[in-house]
Amino acid sequence: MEAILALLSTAFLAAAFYLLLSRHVVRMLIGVALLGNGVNLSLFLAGRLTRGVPPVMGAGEEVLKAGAANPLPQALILTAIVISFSFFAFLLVLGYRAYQTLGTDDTRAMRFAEPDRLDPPTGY
Amino acid sequence: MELTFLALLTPFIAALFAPALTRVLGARAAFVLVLAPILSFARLLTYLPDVMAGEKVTGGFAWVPSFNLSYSWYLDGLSLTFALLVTGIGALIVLYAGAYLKGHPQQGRFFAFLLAFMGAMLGLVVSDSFLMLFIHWELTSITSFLLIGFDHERQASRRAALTALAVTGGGGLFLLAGLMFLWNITGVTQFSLLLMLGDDLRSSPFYMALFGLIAMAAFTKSAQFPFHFWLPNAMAAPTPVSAYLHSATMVKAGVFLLMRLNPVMGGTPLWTIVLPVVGGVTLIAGTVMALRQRDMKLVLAQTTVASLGLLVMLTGFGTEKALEAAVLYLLAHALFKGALFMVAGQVDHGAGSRDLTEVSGLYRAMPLTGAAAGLAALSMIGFMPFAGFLAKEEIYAALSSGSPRDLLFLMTAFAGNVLMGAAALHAGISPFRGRLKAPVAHPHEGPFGLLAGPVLLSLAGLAAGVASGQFHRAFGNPMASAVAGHPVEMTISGVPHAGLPFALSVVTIAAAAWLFSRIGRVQQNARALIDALGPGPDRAFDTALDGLTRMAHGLVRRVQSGRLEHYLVVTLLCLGLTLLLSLALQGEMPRWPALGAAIPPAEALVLLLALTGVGVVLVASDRLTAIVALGIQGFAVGLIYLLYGAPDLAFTQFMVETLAVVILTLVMTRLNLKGADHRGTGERLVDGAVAVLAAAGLGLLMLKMLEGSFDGRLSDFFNLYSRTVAHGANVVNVIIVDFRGTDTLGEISVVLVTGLAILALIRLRAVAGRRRLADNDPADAEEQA
Amino acid sequence: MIAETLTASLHLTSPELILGIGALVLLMIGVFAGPKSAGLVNTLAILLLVGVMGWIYVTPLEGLAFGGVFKADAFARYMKIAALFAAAVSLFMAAVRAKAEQLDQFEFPVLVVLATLGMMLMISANNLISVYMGLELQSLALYVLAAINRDNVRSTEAGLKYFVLGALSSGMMLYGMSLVYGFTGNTGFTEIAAALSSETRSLGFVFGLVFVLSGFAFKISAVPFHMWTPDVYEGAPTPVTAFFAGAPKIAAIAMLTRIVLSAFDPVFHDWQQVIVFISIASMILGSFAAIGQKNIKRLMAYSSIGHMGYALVGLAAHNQTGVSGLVIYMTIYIAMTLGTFAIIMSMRNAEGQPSENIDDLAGLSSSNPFMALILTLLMFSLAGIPPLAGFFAKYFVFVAAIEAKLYALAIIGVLASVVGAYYYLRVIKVMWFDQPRGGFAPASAGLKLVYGLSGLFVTAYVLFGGMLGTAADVAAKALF
Repeated sequence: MEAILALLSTAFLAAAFYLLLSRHVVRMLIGVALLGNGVNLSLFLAGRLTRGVPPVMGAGEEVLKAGAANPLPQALILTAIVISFSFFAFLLVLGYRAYQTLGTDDTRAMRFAEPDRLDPPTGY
Repeated sequence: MELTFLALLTPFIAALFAPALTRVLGARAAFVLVLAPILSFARLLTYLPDVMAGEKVTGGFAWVPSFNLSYSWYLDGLSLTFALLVTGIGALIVLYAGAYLKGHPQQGRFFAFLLAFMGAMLGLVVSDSFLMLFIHWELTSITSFLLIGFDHERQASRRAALTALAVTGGGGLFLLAGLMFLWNITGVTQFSLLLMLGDDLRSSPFYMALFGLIAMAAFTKSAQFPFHFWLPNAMAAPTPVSAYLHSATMVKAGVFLLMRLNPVMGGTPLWTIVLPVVGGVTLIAGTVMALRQRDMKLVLAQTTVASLGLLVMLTGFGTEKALEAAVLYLLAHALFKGALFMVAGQVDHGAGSRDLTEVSGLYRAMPLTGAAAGLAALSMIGFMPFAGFLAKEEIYAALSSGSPRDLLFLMTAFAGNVLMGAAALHAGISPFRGRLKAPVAHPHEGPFGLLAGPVLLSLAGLAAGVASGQFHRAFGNPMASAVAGHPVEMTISGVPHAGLPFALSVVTIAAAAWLFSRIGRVQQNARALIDALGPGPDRAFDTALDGLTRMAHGLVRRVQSGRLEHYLVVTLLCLGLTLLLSLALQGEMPRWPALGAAIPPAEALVLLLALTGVGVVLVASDRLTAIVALGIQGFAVGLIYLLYGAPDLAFTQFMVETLAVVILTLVMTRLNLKGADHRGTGERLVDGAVAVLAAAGLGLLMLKMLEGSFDGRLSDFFNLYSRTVAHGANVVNVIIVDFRGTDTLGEISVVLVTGLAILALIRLRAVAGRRRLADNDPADAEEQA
Repeated sequence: MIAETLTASLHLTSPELILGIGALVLLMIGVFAGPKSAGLVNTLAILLLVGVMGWIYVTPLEGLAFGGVFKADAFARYMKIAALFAAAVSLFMAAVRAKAEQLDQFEFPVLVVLATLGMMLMISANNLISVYMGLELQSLALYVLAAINRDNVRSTEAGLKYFVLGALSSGMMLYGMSLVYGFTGNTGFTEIAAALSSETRSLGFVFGLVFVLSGFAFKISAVPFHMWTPDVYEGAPTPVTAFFAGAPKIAAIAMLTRIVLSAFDPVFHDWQQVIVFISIASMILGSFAAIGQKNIKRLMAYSSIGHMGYALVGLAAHNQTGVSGLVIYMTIYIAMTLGTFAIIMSMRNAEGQPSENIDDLAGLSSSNPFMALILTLLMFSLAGIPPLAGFFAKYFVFVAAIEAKLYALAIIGVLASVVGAYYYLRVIKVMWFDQPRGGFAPASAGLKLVYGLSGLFVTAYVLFGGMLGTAADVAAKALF
């Protein structure tokens, strides 16, 4: 099952990259969301999988039951989810601003850097 | 010691005050500024008796002890003689420049550059520490750049300035590398210590690299073929500059370097072959090019190239006699070439042109100048009893042992001297003899400032030859001893001795005079020869520089397109290829996992849901569908967390996904956007391939990681202490709020910043909008704020 | 006992705490006093940064805080002072141009302070997770700053590019960290080093290392993750670019130095190769690409790429001389960069419109000799021409490289600086040799002060360089 989830996370990553490569901020935004899920899944996998037993101790227990899920990746992912949501929100606002100015979310319309026709500065 | 330090800094100090002084005094400032080189000269002269007695004077201050840097000087025969030349000729040049550029609006700036150059050159020759040598070396390049480009309205000047700096400044970096090698090999950073070493350098495995670097530095600075082209171009500078930098001082720095290192690096096969060959080629090339020219300054510039070639050849040759010859020629050259350059400026100034086809017969109008030019030219062709004669005799004596190698270089020196002699006569005599011809109506002699230099220098050339015994004792012997590394006694005098050298001298002068008598034909032939050889390194430099700019521009066009998607493609390709290639090449590809194991139906359903979500996101033609699909995959991921024992994660994930979908939908409905992917099929395929490649790399790495065993130490730590120390049952929570509490605080700050960011961006729009409104009515804006 | 360690930890992190609380206070002032308070908030922010700088200077802190995730030592002290200084000067310059660049909002100084807080955390980070936190705090603030400008599309474009590429690099770095954690079982630097020296390292770990280094390469804009730099430098408002070019680079370099010299020290052969590659590629690209530029901000972007390459030479040397050289390099780099940007900000035509073309500097030597003189000094210094400070910066790192027998690196570095010198020279040529164009409006006194001091620094470095060298030695020693 771990292998299958690894493949699933690969699929998430591939889709995310594909969306990031499209030239529209909204599609890139969705890509960022997918990327977050893909990376979180792989973090989850790195801590190995355990079905069904949350890392919570019962009353009177000093340590977790054998077979409980690995708590550390979970803690990391919680942080990661929050941060990727921040990213998501920020990109959304950025895209919205671009739209307000340009009337589109196409990054090709944003071409002020390196305009096409410029002669090299030669001569003395 | 402090006085010497001050003497070395005096030119710089004078440079600082030069512009203000010139503003007040005008051209007369020269008479004040000339005190700087004179004072330096006087201070340095006090060391002459010690140095004549064979002593070596060192002094200086530690500067950054931890990096072993010091400001320190080393005065022996070589450096002291050079220093006296720099300050002595420098004083004459300052006077000359005062008269030459009288009334020029930027004369003050010119003085400043010139004096700064003087300080740099002085520092260069007296440096004891390697670093100080390098610093001054580069300073001479920079000040020379500013001086050559002084007439910046002309494109030729700008080009010449850039060429000179590119060649000599670039060569300086070879020097830096070479000096670092010296340090690395020997562990010393000072010449005074370096010169006490014996064969350490010569036997070092790095000798060849070291030699290459030092030779490159010397060749570029001293205008050796094929780097010679910058020197004639540099004649675009005002004449005082040409006379000072490009004949007497700066261009000799390369020769100085070779002479300085000769005791510890010379005598090897590499040294005695490469240097004479390069020098010889430069000598011949320089003389032929000199004969082609019409402009007096250019004739002189090309003979300077030739003379530098001769000096490098002799220094490389390495026998005691050859070194004596090199020393004598260097001194003689500084005197006669400085004089001739100043004469050229004088002719230009007094007769309105320095084109040798436009001026002649000036002897009556400019008698003193003519006399100085004649004396200098006689010294240059090696006429008895001038300093040039001593040098020529010594050269022929050094090369006439009769071995085939000597014979080759003897012939080279002879041919070079004949051709150079013809050029010397052309430049020194042609303007003054014959019928009067000049562009201006009344050619006239210049003022005192213009005359002092050429007259004194040409007389000095005569005096050195006449009083050869004293001259040797004061300058020749100490300098030659420093170059050879052991005491050397010169015997040559202005009185001829019968023998092969004298015979050759006579033939040289006769042949030069014969060539001079038919100078027109000679010039034609020289021109035809050069043309037949095709474009030279000068043109090549242009092409290279232009090509470099265009290449850089094109390169940027490609790698820096300004398009985000290109950047992403590059990044992802790097990522994917690095992973796939190194996994494949190291033979660490993971095994293909067994996927056949039964999957519980619930899990299969969740997987299917996630895949559907991703698939729909990709193909959705309108954005709302895509957003809904995004929500679906997000929930599916949440379910996976739930199934594998992470309820906390699952609930956070559900919440965040819901929020994302709601917000995104709200925003999207306010935007009027076309949903479809605008990419063509080709682009989609390429993008898809890149995405799959990068993801595949990461996926394989993930599988590889799953193959290995898991290191649970840190998790075990939290498990063990969660209850016992932190008193929490939910280990995830304990980690977040307790063990890693500071990080969580950081996380909160990140969220805070995002919030602030979003606020700023949204508010910005509003503020900007209000601004536009407020342009007309400030009160209105107040109200709205 | 817990209370004692907590007090000790709080004491060690006092500069960060002051800065963090200060940022919140500034935010409150801004929120409650409204938009009119922008100038006040900016001034207070500068005072705050300078105050914290003074606090760090007078209280040398040494030790580990919060269970080892935070480390205060001489190296951190030096780099923090440098970063705070750069941030304060950037804010000072921004204040001068705030109105014209539409930066007169209270968020701007608050974001700068928050970014600086992130940098301080980065500099002191002693654990992968705190590295990530500090970095994200800084990066997010920087993303916003890039996009904050004059409701213009260029700025949005810059912000978008920076953000998307930055997010990708953060992702890669996080991924790398999880690999490092996965293969060593630890996130603390000391523990990772212990784990690495007791076991043979696996390929997976090397990937983790490479990913982590890639993330850093992005932050210091080193090749091949430099691509955002020219576009963002050009697109962002100039005061923001000046900030970008200074403080964040110090923080990222400091953190990179600490992580490779403590956590990854046992495997230094692995990272040395990566650093050498990044360094060479940056030096070469920085030099060549700059030649074709006409916009001075883009020129500075490529120049900064090249300079990071040179600075990394010191790190690649993996010796104390190298780190000391690196520290000096960064100090001198900051001084030169801030001065150059002060001049770029002064480049406004008579109507007050900013101009960024190199050709607009034509004839500056006659229209504004002081500015031309300073810019000439700065350009020569950036080109590494002696006896200016920039030369010594290069000299020290190359000496370290030769000591470490990295001859190829040193030689390529020298060659790249030959090519690099060419484009700085072009700026000088334009100023001194070209026909004057309109000339600029007189520079404000504040900017004049900044570039004047910067010019003084690069010139007078020969005189007081020894003191700086000693301080840098002390800083470097803390890591060995």
